[in-house]
Amino acid sequence: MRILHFADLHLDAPFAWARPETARLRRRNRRETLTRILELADEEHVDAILCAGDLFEHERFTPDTVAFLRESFARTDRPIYLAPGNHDWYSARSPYALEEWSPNVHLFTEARLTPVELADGLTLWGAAHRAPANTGPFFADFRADRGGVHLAVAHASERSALPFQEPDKELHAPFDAAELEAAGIDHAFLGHYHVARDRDRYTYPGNPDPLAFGESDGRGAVLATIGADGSVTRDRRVVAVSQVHDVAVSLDGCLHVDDLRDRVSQAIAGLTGSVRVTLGGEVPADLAVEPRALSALGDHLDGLVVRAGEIVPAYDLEAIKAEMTVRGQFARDALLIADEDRQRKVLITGLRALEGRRDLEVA
Amino acid sequence: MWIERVIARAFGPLHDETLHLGAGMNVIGGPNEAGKTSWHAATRLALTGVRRGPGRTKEVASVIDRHRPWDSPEHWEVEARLHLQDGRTVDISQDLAGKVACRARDVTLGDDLSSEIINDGTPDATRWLGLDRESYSAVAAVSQAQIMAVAESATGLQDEMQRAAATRGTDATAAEAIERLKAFRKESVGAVRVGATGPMWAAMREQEAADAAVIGARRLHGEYLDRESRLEAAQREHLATERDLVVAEAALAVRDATQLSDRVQRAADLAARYPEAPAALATRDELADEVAGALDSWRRRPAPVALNGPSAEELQQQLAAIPVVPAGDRRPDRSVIDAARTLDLADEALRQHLDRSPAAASLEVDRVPASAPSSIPLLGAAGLGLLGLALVAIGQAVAGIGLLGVAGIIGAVILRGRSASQPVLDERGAAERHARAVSDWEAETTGLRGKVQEANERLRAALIARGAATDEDLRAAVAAYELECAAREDVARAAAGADGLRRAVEARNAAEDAARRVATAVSDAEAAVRAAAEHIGEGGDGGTAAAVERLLAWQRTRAEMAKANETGIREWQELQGLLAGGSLTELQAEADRRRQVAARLAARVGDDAVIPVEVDSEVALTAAREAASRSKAVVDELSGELRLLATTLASVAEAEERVAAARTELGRVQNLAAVIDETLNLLEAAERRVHRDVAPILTASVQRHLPAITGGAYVEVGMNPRDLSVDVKEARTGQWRDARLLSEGTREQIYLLLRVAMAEHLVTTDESAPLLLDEVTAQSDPERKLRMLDVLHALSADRQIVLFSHDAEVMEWAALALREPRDRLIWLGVPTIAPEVPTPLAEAASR
Repeated sequence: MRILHFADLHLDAPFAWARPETARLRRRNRRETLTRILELADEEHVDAILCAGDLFEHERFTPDTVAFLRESFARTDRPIYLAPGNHDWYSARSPYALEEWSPNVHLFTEARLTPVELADGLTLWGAAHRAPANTGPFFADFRADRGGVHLAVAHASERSALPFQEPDKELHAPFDAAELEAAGIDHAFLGHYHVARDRDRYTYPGNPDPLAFGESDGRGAVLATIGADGSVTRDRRVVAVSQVHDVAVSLDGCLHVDDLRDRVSQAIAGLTGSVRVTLGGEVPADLAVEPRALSALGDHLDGLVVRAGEIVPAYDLEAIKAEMTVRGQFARDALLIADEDRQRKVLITGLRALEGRRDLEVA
Repeated sequence: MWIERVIARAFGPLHDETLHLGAGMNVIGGPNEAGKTSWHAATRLALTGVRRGPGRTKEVASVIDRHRPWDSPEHWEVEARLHLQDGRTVDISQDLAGKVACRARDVTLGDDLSSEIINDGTPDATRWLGLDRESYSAVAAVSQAQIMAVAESATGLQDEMQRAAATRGTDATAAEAIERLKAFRKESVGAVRVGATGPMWAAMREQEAADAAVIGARRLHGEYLDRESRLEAAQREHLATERDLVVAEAALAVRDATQLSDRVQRAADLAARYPEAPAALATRDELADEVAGALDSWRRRPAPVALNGPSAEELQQQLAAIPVVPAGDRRPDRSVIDAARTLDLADEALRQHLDRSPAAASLEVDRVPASAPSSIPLLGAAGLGLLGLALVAIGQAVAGIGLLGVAGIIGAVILRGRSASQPVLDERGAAERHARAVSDWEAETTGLRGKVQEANERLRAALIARGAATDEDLRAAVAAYELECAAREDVARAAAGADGLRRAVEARNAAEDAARRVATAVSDAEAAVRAAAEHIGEGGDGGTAAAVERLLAWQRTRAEMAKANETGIREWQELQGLLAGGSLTELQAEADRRRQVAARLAARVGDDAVIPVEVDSEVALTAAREAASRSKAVVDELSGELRLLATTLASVAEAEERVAAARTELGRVQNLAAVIDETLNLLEAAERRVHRDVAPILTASVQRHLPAITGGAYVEVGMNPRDLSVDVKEARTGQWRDARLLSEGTREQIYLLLRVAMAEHLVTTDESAPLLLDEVTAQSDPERKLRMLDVLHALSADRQIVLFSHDAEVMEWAALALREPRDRLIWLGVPTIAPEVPTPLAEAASR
C-alpha cells in the first residue's frame, strides 16, 4: 500500500507582505502545487491520497478555488481522503458539504475517528474539525475496534512538537505521541504543523508550498509505503511551485546609494520567485538607506521585500556622547531609550536633523 | 596640545617648507600671496587630516580644491609635531591625496598612535581634544570669513554660538534641527483632522477603507455561503421532485404497459373469435315493421268502455217532457210589496187614530185604571222584529221585511197607547183641551186618510206596472198577484231541470260515440295481429292473445339474432381499434417495449421506492412535472444569483492584504511620528539643558576679558540660556544692551572671546585646543586691535594661539609684545622694516 500524504496547502490564504499582483501569483502557485501533488500521485501509482486538513481557508476561499478543487480531484481516479482542519473545518456551509465531489473523494465529517477500509486488514481512521477552534483530542479515548493495520489521517497537534513550530502556532486537537500506540494506531498522517516532522508513529509533511519567508527545509508531500506489519517508510518529495528566498545583504563598505543598490542587485541576481532581503551592517552616517526604494530592484522577481535589519550608521557615538553640545546631550538622552529599535531610530533621526539632512525617516 | 612645527611636504605652493611655532602666541605675517592662507590650511589639515571617502563638508572640499599642490597634485602631504598635555610628542603625517600614508607616531617611543585618533579612516589629532576635524575647524579655527560674518550680520554671533553649542559648529543649530524635524513631520506625517492631506490622515483613511472593504468582503463571503447553502437545499429539493417525477413516469409506464398487455390479450381473444369481419344483418324489414306495428297497435288498443244508466234516447224523451217557463214575475216585486206595506201602515195608522178619538179618549181615561201598561205586547212586537231581521238575514227579504213592518206598527201602537194613556186630569181645562183635541184629531184624521188614499194609488200603480189586475180591492189584487207569482214560480221550478238533462244527453251521446271508437280500434288491432301472425306464418288457431304471443316470440328471436350480429360487429371494430392499423404481432411488440420502459423507469426509482399504482397516473405525472419544474426554476434562479454573486465576490484574501498593507503603512507613519516626536522632545530638552549649562560658562569666560577688550566700555556680559543671545552692560550708563546692536568691532571682540570660551568648553579632555586665527583683527580700529591682541596674548598663556595676519600694525605689535621662545613672530616672505615712528600698537606692545 502506497500513500501520498500532504496537508496545510492553505489555498486562498493571504500574503500580507506582498503587493496585490504578487499575492495573486502566490495563490496561483498554491493551486499549481496541488496539481503537482496529484500528478505525483499518478506518477508514483499510489493507492490513496491523504490530505490532513487546511486544504483551503474557509473564511477566504473563492468559488473559483472550490471549482478548481472539484475538477482537480475529479481528474484522478485515485481515492482521496480528506480530513478537514481548523482552517477548512467541516460544516453545513462548508464547500465540503455544499459541493458535489467526485466519487473518488472520501470526506471525514465526524469530529471523531471513523473508519474506512483501505484494503483487507488495513483500516484508515479519519476525523474532521467541525469548528475553527476548540476541537478536542481525537486519540485520547480512541481504541481501534478491529484487527489489522490501523492508519489515521487528521489535523492534530502533537504536544511535544509544538516548540519546534512557528511561534504563533496553537494546539488544535492535541495529543501525546504515546496516545497513538495506546489507541492502536500504527501510524498517523497529520497536518497542522508546518515544520516537517517524522516520528515513528506520525508524520507531519509540512506545508507543501511556502507560506512565508524563512521557512525550514523538508516541507512537501510524503510518499509513504505501508508494510504488512504497519511499518511505514517515508520518501519526502518537494512539490512547491513557489520559490522563496531569504537573503541577508551586508552593507558594510557601502559609501553611497549606488553601492547599496549594487549590493542588493548582486544579491538577488539569478534568483527567481519571491525574495526577502534583509539589510544589515555598518553604513556611513550620511548614507540614507531606504528599503522601500530598493524594492524596485526586483522587477525580474515575483516579489521583492526589502527590510532593514541591523543597520548601524557609522556614528562615533562614544565621541558624540562625550560632546558638551546639544548633540552630545541628545545622544546621551536618546541612548537611554529602552526599546532598541526606537532608540536607534530616534538617535539617527536626531543626529541627521542636527546634520541638516532631509532623510529623516530611519528604516 | 600645542603644535611645534608644521612641515608642508607638498601643499599648495609650499614644498618642503617648515613653520616653527611656539607654545604661546604665534603671529604669522606676510604680504598677500606670501602663503599665509596656505599655512593656515596646512596647519589645520596637519592636525585633522581629511576623511577617507565621500562625505566631506563643503568647507573641507573647498580647502582641498584650493590647496592641492600646484605641481604634483597626487603628492599632497603635510606633517606636524605636536606636544600633548601628557608629555608625549607626536609626529603626525597626513597623506591628503591618497589618505594611505597617514599616521601619528610617538616621537619618543616610536609607537604608532594612529589608532587612538583615527577618524573616518585617517588620524585626526583633534580627537585628543575630544573634538574631531569638523568641530575643531568650526570651533578652534577662526577664519576671516567667520569674523566678517559675525561683523556683518546682527545675528551672526548668536547663530555661531548656537551652532557651536549644538554641534560644535559643524552642522545645524538645535533650533534649525528642530525646525527641520517639525517641517519633516508636517510633510511626512501631517495633521490628523478632517480634510487633512498628509500621510497620517491618508493612512488612517485607507485603513478605515480597507477595514470596511474586508468587512464587506467577509459579509459577501458569508452571503455566498448562505446562498450556496440555499442552492444546495434547493438542489436537494429538485432532486426529490425529479425522483418523484421518475416515480410518476414509472407509474404511468407501468400502467400503460399493463393496459397495453390487457389490450394485446383482448385483441388476441377477438382475433381468435373474428378471423374475418362479421357480415351485418338487416335489423329492420317490412315484416318486422308489420309485426312491431301490430304489436304496438295491440299494446296501444283502448280498454273497452262500459255504459250505464239511461241511453241518450231515453234522456232525450225526458227532456221533451219538461214545460215552458211562463212570463211574468215569479216572485212579488218589491214595488208592490212596499206599496202594500205602506198602505197597511197608513190604514193601521188611520185605524189607530180613529180609535183614539177625543170622546173615546176621555171615556177610555175614565175606564182605564191607573196601572202600568203591560210589557208583554211590546216584547211580542220586538220578537216579531227580530224574526223579520232573521228572515232578511237568511235571504227571505220579503217575509222578513213584512214581519219587520208589522212589528214596527205594533210597537208604535203600543207606545202611543202608553203615552196616550197618561191621564190628564185637569178639571178646569179639560173642556178646552178636549175641544182642542177633537180639532187636532180631526185634522190628523184628514191627513191620515189622505195618506191612505195616497198609499192606495201607489199600490195600484205598482200592480199595474207588474201586469196585475187591479179592481177596487187592492188588497185582493195584491193577493192575486202574489198567487200568480207563486204559480209561475212553481212552473219555472219544474222547467229548471231541462238544462241538466240536455247536458246529460250530450254526455251520453259522447260516451256512446267513444264506446263505438274503442270497439273499432280493438277490432282493428285484432285484425292487424291476426294478419301479422298470418304473415309470419304463425296464423294458427286460437285467439288474438295467442297470436300476440306468437308475434312476441317471433320478435324475441329476431332481436337475439340482431344483437349477436351487433356484438360481432362491435367487437370486430374494437379489434380494429386495438390493432390501430397494425398487426397483433406489432401490438405485442409495442406491449413488450412498454414493459421494458416501465422496468427501466422502475429501476431508476430504486429498489426502495414504491411506485404507486392506484393513483391517477396522469394527474400524478402532471403534478410531479409541475413540482419538478418549480424546483428547477428555483434552482436555476439561485444558481444564477450565485453565479452573479460569484462574479462580484471580492477576494477576502485580497481585502485582508489591503488591510495588512494599510496597517503597515499606518504603522510606519505612526512609528515615524512617534520617532519624530520623541526626537523633538529629546532635542528640545537637550537644547534647553546645554544652553542652560553653557551660558554661565561662556558668560564667565567672556566676563574676564570683556572690560579689557572693550576698553572698559562694557563691564558685564549676560547670555540668555534660551537662545544664547548676548547682552552686555554699558559701563557709562549701566544699561544692558543687546550685543546685536553693538558695533561690528565690539561684536568681533565678543565673538572672539566666546569662541575661545566655547573652545574651552567643548574640549572634553585635559588638553587645550590650539586656536588658529586668520585675520581676525581685520575689521578693528587700532585701539580695539590692540586690546584684542592683548587679550589674545593673555589667553595664550593657557593655549597656543596661531594668528595669521597681513596687518603691519599687528606685526609691529607682535614684534614688540611677543617673547620667544614661547611666542613667535614669523615673517613669510620679505620682512617688513620696522617704522621709525612707532605706531600706537608698537608703543602699547613696548609697554
